[in-house]
Amino acid sequence: MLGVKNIFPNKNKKEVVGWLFASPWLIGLMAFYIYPLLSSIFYSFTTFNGITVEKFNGIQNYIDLIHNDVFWLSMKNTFIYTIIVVPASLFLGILLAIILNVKTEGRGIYRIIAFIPTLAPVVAVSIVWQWLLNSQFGLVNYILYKVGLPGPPWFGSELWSKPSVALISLWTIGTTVLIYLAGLNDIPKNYYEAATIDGAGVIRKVLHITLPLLTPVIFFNIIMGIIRAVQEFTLPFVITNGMGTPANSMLFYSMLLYKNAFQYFKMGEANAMAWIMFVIIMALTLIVQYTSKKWVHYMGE
Amino acid sequence: MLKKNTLRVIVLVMTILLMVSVALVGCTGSSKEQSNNQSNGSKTENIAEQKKPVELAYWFPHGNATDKTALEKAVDVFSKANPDIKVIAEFVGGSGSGQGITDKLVTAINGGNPPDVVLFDRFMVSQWASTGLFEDLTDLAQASGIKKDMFYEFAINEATYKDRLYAMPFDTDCRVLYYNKKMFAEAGLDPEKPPLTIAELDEYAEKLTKKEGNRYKVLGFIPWLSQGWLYTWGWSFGGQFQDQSGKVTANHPDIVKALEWETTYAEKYGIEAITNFSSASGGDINPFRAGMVAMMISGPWEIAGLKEVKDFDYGVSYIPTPTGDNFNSWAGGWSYVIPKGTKYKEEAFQFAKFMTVEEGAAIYGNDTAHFMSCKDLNDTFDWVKNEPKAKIFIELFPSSYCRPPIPKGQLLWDELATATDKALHGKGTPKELLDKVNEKVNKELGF
Repeated sequence: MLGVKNIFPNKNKKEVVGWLFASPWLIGLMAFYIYPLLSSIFYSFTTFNGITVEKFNGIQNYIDLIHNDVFWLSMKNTFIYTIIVVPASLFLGILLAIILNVKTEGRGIYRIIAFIPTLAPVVAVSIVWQWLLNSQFGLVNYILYKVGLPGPPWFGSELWSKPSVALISLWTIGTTVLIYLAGLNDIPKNYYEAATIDGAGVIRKVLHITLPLLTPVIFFNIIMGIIRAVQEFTLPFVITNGMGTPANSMLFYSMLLYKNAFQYFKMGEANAMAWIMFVIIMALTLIVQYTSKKWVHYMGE
Repeated sequence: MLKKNTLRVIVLVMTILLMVSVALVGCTGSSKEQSNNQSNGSKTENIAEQKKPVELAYWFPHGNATDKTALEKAVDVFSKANPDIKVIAEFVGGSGSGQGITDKLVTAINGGNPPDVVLFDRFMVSQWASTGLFEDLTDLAQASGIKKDMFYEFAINEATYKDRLYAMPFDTDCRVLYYNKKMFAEAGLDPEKPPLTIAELDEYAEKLTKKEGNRYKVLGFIPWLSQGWLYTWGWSFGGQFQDQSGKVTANHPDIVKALEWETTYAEKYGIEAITNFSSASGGDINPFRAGMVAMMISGPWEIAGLKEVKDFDYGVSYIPTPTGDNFNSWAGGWSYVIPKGTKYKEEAFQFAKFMTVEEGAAIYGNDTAHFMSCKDLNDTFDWVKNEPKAKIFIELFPSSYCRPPIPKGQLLWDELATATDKALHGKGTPKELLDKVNEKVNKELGF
């Protein structure tokens, strides 16, 4: 105790005890977050192969990446995917939430049905959809063929591969819908009552009450959606068996990162990629945050 | 005031970290002592009583019932014959792109707690050995009388890096042409005369193709389906992927020719229509088995699968070459490696030896209908004696290649696959694409 008193001569015991109680968490944070985080920055400047650091490399890893076509391709693929999936999940999520919020009999069952796909493990989902969307043997194209519509080649073509992944991702939209539902229930009923008295229809209510008051939730879901989409890994990895076919159109950023780290043993470059991704996500979040002042409305303000 | 506070926090955090590190050092110190005591103790015990068996952690990624059962059977036989070694076999699911246990093994070796012996894709051995992940087995192999010519040449090449042995070759396979005899007869072709030249192959492929509306019902042949990698065709066309100096030659004129030939199929039949057939890889749909392609390049594992299909009449033949002779193939397979950092290198090697050239190999080969890299075993298997289609594989093994055993084997594989994919989709000419692959891989290799 003498040591503690020397370090904290003017502090009361309560504060010291407080720090001590917080110390397991602090140690955990240090060991499992701060230390890996800092070492990852360090490794991104070295030629780390996963076992030994051969040499300090300066910013060479970053320079190599910038001159690497595949890096830019993976970046492009990821952003095209993000641009497809984020607005689509925004639209579909809100639509589903509004529908599932309508007071009908068996509403609980409909909600469960919408949520169930979320519970399936991603790998299982990928494999099932790989079958369903197989353009030759798949059920989806079989039905389209019977109806007389041309079946798209899905994972077989560069044009369709990313929308196909987006489709699968939208199938597991349950969690997003759940957050929208919570947001919808937060909107006071009396606004709608007032609007009804004023003679507003359903569409006007949605446009002028629901959507503006849902913006904080939309804001949250956009940011989370962007982060999720930019980091998308499992779906394209499982579907293409790690290859990113056809013609590298499914080589997403995280897949390239994984390959660098665990298949080519270029752990240093992989760490550099992780930090580039961090900066990009940070920038995107800040942009959305900045624009939010113009379109996010909090109740009571 | 604020500064003072921050300083205090830093001091506190540092103290805690110091305490923790001291505690950790203390822990490892004591555990080391303990283990030393234990080993000393067991040594003294040995003299008095029976020896306490050494426990070997053995990882394998083969999850299917036949392979797993055979591996476990071999482990049992080994444990009975060697009471002083206890092998604890553990199935560890493969991850990554079908290369078996990779990321988990890197982590385990890095963490200083690796398994003692691992069943590992031979193709990756050079890359891992060059990174210092595996134990050098040369001396142990020499001491226990293992000779290079016990194995097929490709297998020992793949297990060697810079003239040192890093793996004991286990099973193997090579690629051949499978063709559907019934479809041959229907198309007016002689079912006993498979195509031998590339020109014949093209001609037969066209005759065997059936179209219904704008969808293909049957495609005669897809060069890149299943095992039709650029390696297969590059060698078939007479190309070489590596020169004497060890430099990669992915843009060898014959390899370029092979890829150019592959693109003619993409143009003729439409790449998207073909991809529909060949993209079924993730599911268990086998287009050849389903009767959707009439010819396919694949490995010996098809034989067992095709036996389950009723009345499926098919033949196996050489992979066609431009000239109709100089047939070759390429081989892969698994091997036993000993990760760096194991305590029981000798015992682990004893087990690896048992599994690759002794009874373990015989059990595995016989029970799973796999070919083994240990040459003399293959003719002894019952299934080989009863399966006329097995002969062609044994005939081809001596003229089979292995993928270049270089530290960047995975990169070369991926780059070749990507270049093929791009060429087929018309994103660049084969020459340009392969030049790029060559430049990139050689740069990584330090040439």
